[in-house]
Amino acid sequence: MEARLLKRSSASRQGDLSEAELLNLVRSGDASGMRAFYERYVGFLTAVCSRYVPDRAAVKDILQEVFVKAFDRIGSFEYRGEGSVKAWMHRIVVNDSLKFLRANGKMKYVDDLPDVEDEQMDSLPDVPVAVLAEMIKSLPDGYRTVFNLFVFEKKSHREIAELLGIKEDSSASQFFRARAMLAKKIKEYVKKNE
Amino acid sequence: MSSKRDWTEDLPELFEGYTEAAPEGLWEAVEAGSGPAAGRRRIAGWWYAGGALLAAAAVVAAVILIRPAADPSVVNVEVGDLVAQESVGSDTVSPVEEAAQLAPASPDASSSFYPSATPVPSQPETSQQSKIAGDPVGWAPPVTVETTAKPVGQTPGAPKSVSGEPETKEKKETSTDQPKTTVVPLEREPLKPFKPRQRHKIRVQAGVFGSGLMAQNVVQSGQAATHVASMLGSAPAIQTKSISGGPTTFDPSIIGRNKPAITQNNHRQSARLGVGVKVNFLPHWGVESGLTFTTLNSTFETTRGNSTQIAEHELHYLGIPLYLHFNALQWRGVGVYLAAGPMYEFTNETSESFSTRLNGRLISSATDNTLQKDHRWSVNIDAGLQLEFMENNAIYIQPGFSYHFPQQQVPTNLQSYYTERPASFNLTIGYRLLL
Repeated sequence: MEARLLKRSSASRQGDLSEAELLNLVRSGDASGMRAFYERYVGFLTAVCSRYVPDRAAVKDILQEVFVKAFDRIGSFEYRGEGSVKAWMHRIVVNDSLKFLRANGKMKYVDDLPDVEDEQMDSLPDVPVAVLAEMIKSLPDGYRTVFNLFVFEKKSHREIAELLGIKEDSSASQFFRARAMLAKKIKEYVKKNE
Repeated sequence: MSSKRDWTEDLPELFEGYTEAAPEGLWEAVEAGSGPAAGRRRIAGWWYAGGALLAAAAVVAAVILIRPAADPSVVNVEVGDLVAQESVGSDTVSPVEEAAQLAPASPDASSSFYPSATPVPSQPETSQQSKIAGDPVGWAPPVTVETTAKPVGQTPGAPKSVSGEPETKEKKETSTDQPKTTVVPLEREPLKPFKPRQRHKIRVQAGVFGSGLMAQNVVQSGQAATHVASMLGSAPAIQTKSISGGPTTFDPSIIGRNKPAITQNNHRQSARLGVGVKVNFLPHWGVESGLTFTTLNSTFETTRGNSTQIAEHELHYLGIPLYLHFNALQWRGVGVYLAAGPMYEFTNETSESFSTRLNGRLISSATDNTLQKDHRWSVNIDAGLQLEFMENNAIYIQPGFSYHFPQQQVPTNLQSYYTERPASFNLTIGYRLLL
């Protein structure tokens, strides 16, 4: 089995490997397998990390740590079907991004925020994902973190409150303000590009 | 009627396949920090951990095996017991005078650093009595006494006396039919030339006491007394003071010079405080250096009859460690690691004090803050728990085992936890900067 995998580890075939095969290659210490593993997930992970931490240099540091950690711990990772490796890497990136924000004092959640006009938006207009991503990145740190956790990680406000050490109400208010701010940006973009 | 769907709920699906270009140089950075053999290294990590534990066990076993069987403080007592004979029937002296009598009466008597079995005639008994006679009320300690005499042949580490004369570590009571002798200064020397004539009851205890570690030696001699004021070897001057409200009457007979003496030495080591910088050069490996602060306390107490003489010293050591770290486990900000390496320590502040009590009442005391220079090397192996409370900032608690090498280059008779228990456990707590 391992011999077969090693044979298949040529660069030309690595793109076709399943997650399980790629996982076995990395576990066997195959250098090209590790590179393939990196290539497969780095784009996705960069996008996830950038949503939490807009600073490019910080993203690089975080992702470096994430991959080193992943390669280091991949032996103990329990494979649970296709997509589980990606989900695992995603979880590591989110955790490390939160850790970075916490360590750098960027997770400040104050309740006495300025009022934001509640922008009503029935549906998401046709806006390029890259533009949406940039809009999310431009949110204030606290807003952005709560918004990401609530929308993309599907955490409840109670879970977010526990995770960030804030009140549940604070999480909810941060989210609503983030959503309003984002809706305003989207409307402005749509209006500008009409 | 279904509830209205929020537009934010569409975002996860929209972002599902979204990717961004990786930061430049990321793979190179990952390669440098990880390498292609991560899987193999993980397995190798366990081998390293096992090897480190085996090495630790080997160090502990070696230290235990090469450790001298006899306790140095007990050796002192026995040597003193044999050599430091003094006159008997001189109960008409104060404790401080008694201490003074323990010092050699003539340069000849103290000319040899090594113990001499040759009895030296002591001062006439009448001279001691006349001292007391000169103070009809009672004995009062001198106001200022300086140690200036350094007998020929005495090493820099030779003992000193509060009375201004070099003194011995030990003294001995002999039967009344033995000739009067004076005392020669003693160091910890081989016992071979001197065979014990007394049976000593020796108890050695060690354990955790209060904030630190403690080594306790108790020596009980049927007729021997151990002088306690000789724990440090080279203090040039000692300031003494009389205690106000001291004894107005003095019954020399309570000194009990013919009574058994019990000497109890306690050596304590405080928890070590540390500040360090650790640099990881591999995912599991790092080096650390910094500064440690350790306090050693020693108490030397001799009780004979109603008289108790207590000498204490406190030594503050600064240490510079150089540790190799193996990061065994890491979970969030909590890490478990093994650390091993040498450490150089030197005293930066020392103090000593002496006191004499009669019937529990303090009658004299002396202090000396002269720096007792000492430096020594040790090898250490520790297991630590580290909490990274901020990025790159951690606090740690690190129990460990250390072996302090004897001081070779500068002779000293400094007795401390390091000399009495060179192989011992310790506890370090501190702050660490992670780079």
